[in-house]
Parts: sequence; C-alpha cells; structure tokens
Amino acid sequence: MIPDPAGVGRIYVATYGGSVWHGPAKGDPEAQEDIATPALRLWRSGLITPPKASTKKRD
Amino acid sequence: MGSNPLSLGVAPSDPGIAYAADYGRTMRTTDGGKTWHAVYSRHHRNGGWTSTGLDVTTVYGVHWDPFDAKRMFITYTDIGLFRSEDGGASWLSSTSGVPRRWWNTTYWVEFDPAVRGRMWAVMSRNHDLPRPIMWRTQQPSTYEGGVCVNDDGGLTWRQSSDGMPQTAATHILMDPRSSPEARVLYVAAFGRGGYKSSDGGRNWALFNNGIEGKEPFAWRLTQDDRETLYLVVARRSDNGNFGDSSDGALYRSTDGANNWERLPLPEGVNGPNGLTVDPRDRNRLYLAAWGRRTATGARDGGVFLSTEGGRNWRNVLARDQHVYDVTVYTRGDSPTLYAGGFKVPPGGRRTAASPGSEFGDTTSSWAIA
Repeated sequence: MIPDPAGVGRIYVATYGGSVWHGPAKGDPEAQEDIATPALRLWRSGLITPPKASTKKRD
Repeated sequence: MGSNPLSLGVAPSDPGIAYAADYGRTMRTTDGGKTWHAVYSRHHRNGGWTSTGLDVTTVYGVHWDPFDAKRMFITYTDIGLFRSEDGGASWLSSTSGVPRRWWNTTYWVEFDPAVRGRMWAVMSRNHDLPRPIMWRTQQPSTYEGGVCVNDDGGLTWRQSSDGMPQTAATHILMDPRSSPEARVLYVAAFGRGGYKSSDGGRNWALFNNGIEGKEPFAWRLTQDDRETLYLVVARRSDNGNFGDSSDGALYRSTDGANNWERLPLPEGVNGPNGLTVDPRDRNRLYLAAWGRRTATGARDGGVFLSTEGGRNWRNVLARDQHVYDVTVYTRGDSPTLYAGGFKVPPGGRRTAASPGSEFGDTTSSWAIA
C-alpha cells in the first residue's frame, strides 16, 4: 500500500498479478466484492445474467 | 497481432466480433478479423497510454519524483518500468538505455532527494520474485540484472553495476545521511546476498559478513532513523519444511552493512516477506510473513509485531496466512496499518485502527491507476 501524496484519504495498492489500484484509504462499505471466489460469479451481484445450464457434456 | 494468440472468442450474436489474447494483450475485431484494436489500453491525448483495467501483471511499487509531483513511476514485472509526467493520467515505458535483457522487471527505484532528476533502479530479466515457481526451473546463480542510474528524471538510463555480477537485484535503498557527492546505496541481490556502494552506485562490493547460506535470497532492505539496516531473506522451500537451510531469515546491521546479526523470527515462522519500521518508534517492527503448508492448511504466517526491535514477536494478524507487506499510514485522523497479500477472504484488505490492535475488515472500491 502506498499513500497518495496528492490527497489525504487516498491510497494506491500494488498487487501481484493485478497491476495497481487507486482508491479510498478508509474503504467503501457499498463496494461490490468481486475478487475472492465464489463472489467472482458476477451474476450473484445482479450485474450480469447467469449463463443457462447446458445439457451437453463438456469435453 | 504480434505474438502467438493463445485464445480466441467469437460473439455468438455476431460472427464479425471476436476477441483474441496473447501473452500480454487483448485485441478485438468488429469486422470479422480485417482489423484488430487493443482493448487493454487507450492512447491518451497527452501522448502516453492509459489502462482500461485489463492489466494482469505484478506491481512492486508506485514512486514519486521528489522534485516533480506529477512525475510518477510504476515498477512492473513483465513490462518493466513505466513513467507518467501528468500525475498518473497517462503512462510511457521508461526503459531507454536499460540493457535489453533487463527490460522485463524493475523491482524498485530510489530517488536522490538532493539532486534533481537523479535516481537509481534495480532491474532484472527474472520476474515475479520471490515466488518459488521462479527458481524451480532456473538456478538463481544464473539470474540476470543489476543497477541502472539516471540523471534526467527517468528518461535515459545507463548501467551502473561495476563490481556486481549479473543478478536479480530486487531492492535498492539509499542512506539519506550520505553526501550527495558520494551516496551510500545498498542492494538486495536474490541468490547472492547484498551489495553496497559508497560512490553513488559506480562501484559495488558484496556485504555478506554474518549472512548464512551459499545463495542468500536477499529480498528487501529497510533502514530506521538511526541507520540500523534490516535485510529480509526470502524462504527457498515451499513444501512446509521448517528448521533447515531453506528457511527465510531476518538480519540486522548497525555498522553500515559491514556485519550482520541474525534476528530471531517469530516461533514457527520461516517465510518472511517484508519488514516495516514504525516511523514513530524505531523499536516497533512489523513483519509480514507467508505461512507454511501443512496438511490442515497454512500456519505461522500473517503479521507479527515486535516492540523491542525484533527481539520478541507476537502475532497480530493470523486469519490471513499469506501477507506480503505492511504499511504504516500516519496521515489523517489516526494511524492505520495496511497489510496486503494473497488469498485474502472476502473483504479484500485488512486494516487496523491503531498499531498492534487486531486487524479489522473493510471492503473498498477501487479504480485502476
């Protein structure tokens, strides 16, 4: 985590594999968690339509 | 397209729309493949580039030029060093003059706060350290990289590694008390130990007196306000072993890296990743560690606090077993600790309202920088 010198209350987060992110130092309780599985299934958030169940067996 | 595409997806509703990905890019066509355009970045009106959020590479740090608040650097794996001249609105590759085989990764940069434009960088062909997969297939003794110096704010680099063999240099630290005419610099060299320069990086000498092992995985350096140096040596093993020569270690030097003393790690810990000295109390140390693999899950990782300069430790965060680093944030209303790592549970990051207290959960919203 790197404090943002341009503004109190903002920080940068360096990640292993996800580049760098800029956001509020105190967080946002309304934020949608979409990183840690199983929340990665975005249809749970209502943002996308869930895929239809397939009857074909996958290879 | 540049390199071999790895995957291709065609829109089921329109066969003219397709996406293709290779080792570094995501491209889109809307005309059945006649033309392709990048969707992972956009050209900015300032002349640089900005991400669209599809970045999938590792960042070691974000760094600001002490003489120009709008000049920023990101130390990346895979795409090397990037520079912004407009406060992060757009970015350009900043590896001009760097040996071609060192372009892949810049692990860290250090600025001279007394000389406008002067900075040093540690760069390597070997990326993604300190993850064990990187030495499963290549001996650390064959790693390539070293130090580069720059006098024009990051535009043009030149190699500055005399006395240092090719190595994966993963960290550089400047002693701020040294003279601007003869800066004292320290470098962590993964698989070799540490190197010191007393002439601004022109010449380097190995410092391993007291550091154990044939190939010390020297990873990170820290200095407190009384010139005490700490060196974090990464763990070699990844199979849960403990108590052997593959353990990571923590060292301290009080004489400018001439001699090193091995400090005790917390009980059971052998995977140190980062050490942070509390800026308000030099005896207050935070150690970030990775847990050891066991049949029932990882253990002996997390964040550990010492209030006696590393003589004793207690665990202050155990729920996350793979912590990469700790930052003490002293701005704002109250000091806050941030711990970052892998496999964190829903909530993303952990914070603490005061040093040493148990970490609490928060969720947060983020925009890619």
